[in-house]
Amino acid sequence: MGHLIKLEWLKMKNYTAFRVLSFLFVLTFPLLLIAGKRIQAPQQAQTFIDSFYSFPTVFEILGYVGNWLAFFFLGFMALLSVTNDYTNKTLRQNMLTGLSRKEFILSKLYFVAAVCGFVTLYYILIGSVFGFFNTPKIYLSDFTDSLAIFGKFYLMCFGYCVFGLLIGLIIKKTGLALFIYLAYTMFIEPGIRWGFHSRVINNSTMHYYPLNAIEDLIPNPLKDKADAFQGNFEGMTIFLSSTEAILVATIYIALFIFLLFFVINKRDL
Amino acid sequence: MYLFDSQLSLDQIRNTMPVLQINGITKKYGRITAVNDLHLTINKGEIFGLLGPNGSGKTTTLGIVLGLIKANSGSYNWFDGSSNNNQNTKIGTILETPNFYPYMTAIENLELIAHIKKAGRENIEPTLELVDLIHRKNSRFHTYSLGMKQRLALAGALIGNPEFLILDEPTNGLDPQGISEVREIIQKIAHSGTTILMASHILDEVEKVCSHVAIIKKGKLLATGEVGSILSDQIQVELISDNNGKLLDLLDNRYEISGLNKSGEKIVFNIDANFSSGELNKLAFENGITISHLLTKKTSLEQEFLEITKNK
Repeated sequence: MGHLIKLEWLKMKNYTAFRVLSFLFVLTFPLLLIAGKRIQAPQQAQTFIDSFYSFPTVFEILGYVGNWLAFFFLGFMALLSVTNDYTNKTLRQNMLTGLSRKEFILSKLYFVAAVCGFVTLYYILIGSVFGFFNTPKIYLSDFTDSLAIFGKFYLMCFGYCVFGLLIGLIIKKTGLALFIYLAYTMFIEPGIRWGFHSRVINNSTMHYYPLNAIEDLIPNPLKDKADAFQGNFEGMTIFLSSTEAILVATIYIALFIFLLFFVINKRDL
Repeated sequence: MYLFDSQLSLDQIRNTMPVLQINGITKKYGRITAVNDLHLTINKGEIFGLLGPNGSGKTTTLGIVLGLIKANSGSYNWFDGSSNNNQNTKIGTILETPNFYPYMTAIENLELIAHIKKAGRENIEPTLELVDLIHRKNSRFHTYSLGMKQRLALAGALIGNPEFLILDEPTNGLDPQGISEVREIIQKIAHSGTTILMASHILDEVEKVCSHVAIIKKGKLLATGEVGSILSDQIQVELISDNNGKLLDLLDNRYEISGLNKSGEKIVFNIDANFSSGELNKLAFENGITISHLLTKKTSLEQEFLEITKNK
């Protein structure tokens, strides 16, 4: 495993896109939070906003910010790591050198798994720093209660990455792959869910879509209010419950991983 | 004149240790058959040329035995019969264009190859010296000229001291100096006992470098054997005399004649390389035949190659 992670690291460490994406991610993650804190708001709203930055809410807010960043930066990174090997024909060269198809996919998976690990640690670090300075009284339970959200954050990052790898592997061409990655998540899947599924079967099954499940792992922190608002109206919630999201996302991630191996084994390279 | 698999040359009998066996491989792309029931055996120590015009299925064949392309039928065995996936770590390969990470330096690219092959890094610099790129070892790949890229590909193929080298058109796109440099390097490597399989559409290259050759066209094997036996030097004779028929009979008793063609009074044929025109004159004179036109020229390998590929 270490051998394959190092292989991917040797490829990526000098790759400009990887460096830029990492730099932007490391920078924007805390900056977005700082920017939010600097918003001048009326007194009542201010107390509400301040509560975002104290334990344990800070992990929900930061997690939601991380949700967007992971969708863009981590997903892109994973996708580019595959299309990079296609456009330079180095995937073919890797095989010629003696890497097996299976090892190629494993090296990508292990590498993104490791990156997601670092990102999650970074998330915990930033959340802890903000929480530490903004929480009047800190209890150990603030962390132990948050363990579940740490796990879900990791699963979310990994989910975006695996989806990025799959789109990159199927499409091969960088520009088109990025377009489809974005278009699927932002338009196609929501379009199918709201425009088609909900009209045919209007129940919570319309939420059982891969990217929706991954996104709902760390939902908008205001979702309870949204559910309260929307829920009574349609007779169902607009977000998956935490357990549902974990279950559905895990199943789709497993399916994506299966497809990664399936596609590469079918192909002439 | 065709030596097929079943007829082994002396050299092969002495040293039959197959490194690669191809058993009836067929690959179709839609209606086009790129490789058609191909059988080949390559033994240890041979420098085997796979010769054929463009589009004859050379690269597809190499792609199949390297596990990149899936054949429709047939099989292949590497080394001692095992066809496991890691065979490529024991093989050095150049297939078509050199493929490296453009944003990485020569050293970094070779380190990556060494990493995949689980080979030591100690022979990276000597290899760069062998292909004369040591002075550019820290330049990024995308700054290289085509010749340099090709030489780096050769260096990449040599990382980890492979037992077997596969070179697909190794001098493609190089200038004359580059071509001779690359050939020199290949010959140097061959002297060290490495088995080489080289695909090429350039006859001259195969003749200069290889010990064995297989000629393929439209995916079909036309001939295989030692270079000398397949691509032998022959003499082409153009002749007009007052009794062509009798003269041919006389010649046929002494020499091997092939490729006979008549155009009007003139006959054209190929004859063994030990034939001399003096002898022909003498033979004609002794039998009372008058020769009015006689022209002999050595057939080039090029012509012979064209002939082999034309008739099938």
